[in-house]
Amino acid sequence: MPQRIRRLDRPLHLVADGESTQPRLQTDADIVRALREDDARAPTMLWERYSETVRRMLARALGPRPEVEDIVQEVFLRVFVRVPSLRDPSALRPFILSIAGNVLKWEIRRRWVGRRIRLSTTGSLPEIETTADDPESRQALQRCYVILETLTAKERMAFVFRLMEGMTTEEVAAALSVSASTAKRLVNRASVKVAEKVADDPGLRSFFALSAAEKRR
Amino acid sequence: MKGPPFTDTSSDRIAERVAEFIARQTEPVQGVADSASAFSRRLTRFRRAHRQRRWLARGVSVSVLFAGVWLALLRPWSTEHTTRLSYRVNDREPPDSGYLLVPESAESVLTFSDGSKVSMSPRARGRVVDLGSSGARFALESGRASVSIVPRQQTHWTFDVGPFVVTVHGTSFDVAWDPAEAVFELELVTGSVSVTSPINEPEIRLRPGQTLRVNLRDHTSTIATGAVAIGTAQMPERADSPSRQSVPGEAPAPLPAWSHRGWSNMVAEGKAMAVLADVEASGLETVLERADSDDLWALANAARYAGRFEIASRALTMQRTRFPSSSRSREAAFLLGRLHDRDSEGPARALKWYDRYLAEAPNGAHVSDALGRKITLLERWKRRDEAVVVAEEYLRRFPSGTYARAARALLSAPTVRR
Repeated sequence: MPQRIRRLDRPLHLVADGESTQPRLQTDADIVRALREDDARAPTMLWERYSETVRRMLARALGPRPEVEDIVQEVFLRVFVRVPSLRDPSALRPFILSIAGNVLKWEIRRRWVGRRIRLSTTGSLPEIETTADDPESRQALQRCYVILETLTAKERMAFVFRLMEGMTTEEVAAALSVSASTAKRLVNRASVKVAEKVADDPGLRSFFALSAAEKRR
Repeated sequence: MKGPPFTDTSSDRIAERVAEFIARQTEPVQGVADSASAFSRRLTRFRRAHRQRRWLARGVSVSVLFAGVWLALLRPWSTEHTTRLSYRVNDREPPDSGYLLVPESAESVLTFSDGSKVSMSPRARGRVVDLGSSGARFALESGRASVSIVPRQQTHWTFDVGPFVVTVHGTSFDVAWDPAEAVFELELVTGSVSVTSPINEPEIRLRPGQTLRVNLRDHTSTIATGAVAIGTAQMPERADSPSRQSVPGEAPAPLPAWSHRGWSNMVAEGKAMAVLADVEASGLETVLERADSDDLWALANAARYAGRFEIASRALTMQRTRFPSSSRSREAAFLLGRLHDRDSEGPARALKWYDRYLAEAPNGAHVSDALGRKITLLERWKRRDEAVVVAEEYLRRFPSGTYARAARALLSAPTVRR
């Protein structure tokens, strides 16, 4: 008796032995959909795709310290809570950066208050971790963060987003929830403040002059 | 040493150099693989806590919902307490004026929306002065009323009985006010009431079974238990006199009960003098204050038969004071009229008592005699016009009565203008 052949209503997808038969989460929209449907793979996919970006941004803004990892996790926990409110699933990246910006803003303010009321009577910053081998670079980095601490939270974030992360003015504006012109003004103000502080610091002034000369060579 | 200031362009360059330097120096301090497993553990803990918070929030929501339902179920109860009471009179809408004049034939029953009832006896007059959510104010101008208030948590019922104010605390009682005699009587059945009297201060609080009688005319106040008087207080004229302080706010200590003497039988056997002797032996004041209604009535009759009109008058007055709602009280009014029938100073007191009797007992056994005695008195004191009016009423009610001939003779006399 001949066997009946059942016609499939979708194309056959061949997989390697041991590979999951579930569809791959390729786009941001796929990840958002999977998060909303409580797909077990979704958190890992989200983390793999965006944790590096968020970690780098936070580390640059706050200084490379061990607690940055905690703050990265905090950002992603907030993403999980708020992802149902995301209207456009393809806008996952600006959504995450916006949340990271908020977390960063509160962290900067929390540190500022902490330094004022209890952590340090001198107002000096704790030591930061750096991969630099030479002591001069380590000292320069330390003094650079002293300068960044003099900026307001938004100026500091605008400086980091625009000049370190290479975001466009519109992306900076979206991450800070301000207008593009305000974002541009914040970047300019932060740049002038940083430059003036560097000019006031003979060590940094010579350090960056030397670096520029070396770079030109 | 401070260097030359940066221009805008140079400041941008310096800022870019600083940013580039920081970016180069700040490499991640932890690998992605390590951080992924750490984050996975934290996410698991977070989700568990998040679920617990969600359950907690649901629990709170359900509790709030139940509280709302509970309040909604209680709403009729609260509405009951916030709406004004209404009432009906004999199952009909009350008159617009609120004034109630009860006919002679039957009593009127006021039924309030909270279940409380006020039964007004025949010929009683009164009005519902005010209606509130937790009670009402009722004014009894004259007559008797039986009150039954449904006890609730907060009730504000007030009865203005003549010049007295009775504050009700959830109770049933009978109350009477005789404006002609200025006699107030309240018999408390259950619950408690406070009575504010124009001559008593502080207010008098009564217990179940007690009867308060106050006579404003002779300033006597009596609190009795059941039919037996248990205490009498002479009320002082002045509010600040020391004796006024002893007027009881609470019932006085009970005196020994009156031992019935059976004087009625002795009077019936013609032993009036023996009764008077017995009274004198016991003390006239004691007998007047404590004797039961039978013995007091017998004393009044014995004194009348023996010609001791002063004692008879006092016994009859006390009968009316202490037992104002009894039929003997009304009959006493007629007999007091008879006692003053021959007053040399004029017919005023006799006429007053006859009128009082006619008002209290318009269908009583002595109405014919009372009207006839009035005709005789008015004629004797040359008040013919008034006598004619009474004579006309007499003939209308008793055309063949004892005084009919005298009444007709008065009306047919030539001096009378018809």
